Amino acid sequence: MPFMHNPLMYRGVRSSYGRNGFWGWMIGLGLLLLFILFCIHVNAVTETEYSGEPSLAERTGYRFGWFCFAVEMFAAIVVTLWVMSDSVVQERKQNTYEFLETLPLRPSGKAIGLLVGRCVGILTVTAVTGVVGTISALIGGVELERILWLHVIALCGFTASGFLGLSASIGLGRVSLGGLIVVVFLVFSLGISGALMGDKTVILPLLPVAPLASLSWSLLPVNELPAMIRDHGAHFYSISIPWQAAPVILYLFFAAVFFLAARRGLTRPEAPRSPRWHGLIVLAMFHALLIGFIADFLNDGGESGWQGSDRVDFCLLYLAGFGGMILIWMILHSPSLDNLVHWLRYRPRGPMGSTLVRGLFDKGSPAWLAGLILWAITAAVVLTVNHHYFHGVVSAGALLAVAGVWLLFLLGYTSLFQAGVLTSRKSGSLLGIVFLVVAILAPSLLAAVSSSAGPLYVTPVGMVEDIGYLFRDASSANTRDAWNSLLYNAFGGLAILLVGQAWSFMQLTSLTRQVPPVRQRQVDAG
Amino acid sequence: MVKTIIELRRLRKEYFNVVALADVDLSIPAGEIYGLIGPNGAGKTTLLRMLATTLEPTAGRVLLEGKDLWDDPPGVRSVIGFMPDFFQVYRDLTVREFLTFFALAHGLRGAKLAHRVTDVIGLIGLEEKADELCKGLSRGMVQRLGLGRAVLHNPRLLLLDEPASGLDPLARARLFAVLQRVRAEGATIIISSHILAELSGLCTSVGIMHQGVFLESGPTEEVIRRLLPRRKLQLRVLEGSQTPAANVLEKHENVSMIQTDTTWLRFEFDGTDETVSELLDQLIAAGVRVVLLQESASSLHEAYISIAERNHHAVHA
Repeated sequence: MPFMHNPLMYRGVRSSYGRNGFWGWMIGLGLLLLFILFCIHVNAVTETEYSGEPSLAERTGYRFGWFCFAVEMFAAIVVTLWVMSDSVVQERKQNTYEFLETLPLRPSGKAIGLLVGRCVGILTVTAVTGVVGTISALIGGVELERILWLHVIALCGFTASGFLGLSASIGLGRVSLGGLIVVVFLVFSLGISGALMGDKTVILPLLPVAPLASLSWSLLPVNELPAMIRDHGAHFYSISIPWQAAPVILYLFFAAVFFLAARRGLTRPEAPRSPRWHGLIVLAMFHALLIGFIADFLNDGGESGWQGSDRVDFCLLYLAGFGGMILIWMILHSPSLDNLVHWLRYRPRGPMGSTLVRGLFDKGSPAWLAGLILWAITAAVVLTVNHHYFHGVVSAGALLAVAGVWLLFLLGYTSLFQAGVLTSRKSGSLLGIVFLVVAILAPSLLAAVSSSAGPLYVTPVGMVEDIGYLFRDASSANTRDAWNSLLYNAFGGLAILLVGQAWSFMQLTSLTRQVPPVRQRQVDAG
Repeated sequence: MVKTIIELRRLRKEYFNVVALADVDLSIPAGEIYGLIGPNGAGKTTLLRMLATTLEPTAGRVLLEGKDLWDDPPGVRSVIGFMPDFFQVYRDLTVREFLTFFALAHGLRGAKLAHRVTDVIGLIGLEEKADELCKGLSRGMVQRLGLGRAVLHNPRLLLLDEPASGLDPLARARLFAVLQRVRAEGATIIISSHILAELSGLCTSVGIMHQGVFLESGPTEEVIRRLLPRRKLQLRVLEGSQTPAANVLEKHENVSMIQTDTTWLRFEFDGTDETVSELLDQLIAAGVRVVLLQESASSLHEAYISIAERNHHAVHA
């Protein structure tokens, strides 16, 4: 279908331009840009009087360009996420969702049409600020290549956050959580960039995924970039790449994943955003990508010169990342009450092994079943990495201990989450976001405010800390000490999770008892 | 042989512990106006939404002209028109833009698109509002616009869920006129309603639903006859003809339960259309000045009540 023949884009253009105060907003934006330019110029005049270099035009151009690109990035990534996470939710609220559902368009056409149609205003703003910013930054002495990279990052970020918002919006039912998603996104982006900006972290190449970091790095003079990036460059496994390629690749990966999820949601109304096997593949690919960006720092002979303890840190990071992804995967795939009931009623019956395998990939089976398999994969992967990359620097017993505790944590969180779904009858994604806030963000913020690590021990963040202790102890091959340390540090968190598991077990048992038989409203047809 | 447009095979829909549709088998021939009758909660909306591909069955299949709906939902949606029971229109578009939106979705372009949109605006009688924003439309106008959207692409199957609810009598008459026109153009229409009087004159076939199953289905007259073997007729005669008319009716062996009021003679009649015609001949031969002899409009209603009561007793027995 030619571009503008997509009805959703037609609607976006028609309803945006000339209506809803669109031109008023645009004039307001223009005036704001002029006002900011004036302020920057006045400030630059004063500074130039004190020091001649750089020139007034360069100083003003650089700063105004920075501001324009900040608006562009904010609109393209953050506002897009906000708008798109409200897109389908709004259609449902306004009772127009069935129009969207019954449109005879391919799901891809719907997804792209919704993204572009809903974001007509955002695209206009990014185009205006992008052009003005480019001219301004060129005057300010920034190389064109770096500016173009910035636009590529913004475009890829727009696509990724747009499809993320769309797929979330399809899954969130009638509850609008767009604002919450934006908050989570902002906190993560800013949190990551704030906390980890420095040369001592291997995830430095991933940092520009946070819009603020990519903006800063794009406009900084090369000699002011973090030393590791400036001197060593970025790598994908052993291939040298510009650092800008890392956020672009990650954004494109997310765009593809969330596009497929949105497409699936728009194809079959009651389908999960992705089948479980799909989720597993995505998980594995994402992990491979992340490792690709940081693997080069682990070469013994690498220029970064990372030593043994850093390899332990890498393993720790590897585990933490993998565990976090499994947790998110489990949350996304925790069945709704309807799906669980359907599974309990119609689950395949047969030999135990085949039932288990088929059950793992059924959208209605409890996620912790699949969690067992993922845990096994995690343990195998970590043991392999340890054996091949670290030549057994961490003892196998300690690694198994870590994997065991991860299992407890994953099952604990998932069962808590599952019990919440069963009790509240809310959608899985909704509770998942609430869970992320309650279990991760809130304790993290509390710990930061109180300058105490205590609240972290009930969160996966705290678990990472515990594993850190374990690994450092384990590197001395004393497995018993590792276990003691681990149990001591993780005791509070584990206790809570045991309560969660008991609660979940009771809920599931109760549900299993009451589900069949279906209330047959069969009547006498005579 | 009449072509079947829709076929349901063991179609089932469950919500938690409730079966909304219980293993339904049904065939609807092409060209019918098929009325879905039943109280709230009977499963009418669930069935229509499954036919419109907005709801997936728990089990069973729906075949549209022999092809499973879920093999190619976008393809199916291009030959189906669906008007949900409760909907709103895009308030930030004009009436013309709203219809253009759907015309684009159905592949219309250029002059053909503009002509079709103008035709439909005329069909639904919104010429004066064509270039006004939808947010200014009344409930009845929104309903008409929804119908316009559903028939815009000349669908082969038109699904209407309670289309006349909230419409005044004039708008309702206009709606039915549009439906007759759409049917004349070759579409099959499935229409749900719990206002039976409005369906009895419109539908060529009906299906009576109750608690997720079809209690009866078939041509309207046949269904009524199966459920009410004695037809309910009403006769209107000129003043002065009432007594001779009553005499003829009392003597007729197929007539019973005669009731008279100032205008009408109502009675039950056990016979075919042919014997009704013979009765009419007898009345005229007896000097009765007949104005009208017709099936009672409430037959469908009474048929439904009859089966619902029978079913209620069976369930509680």
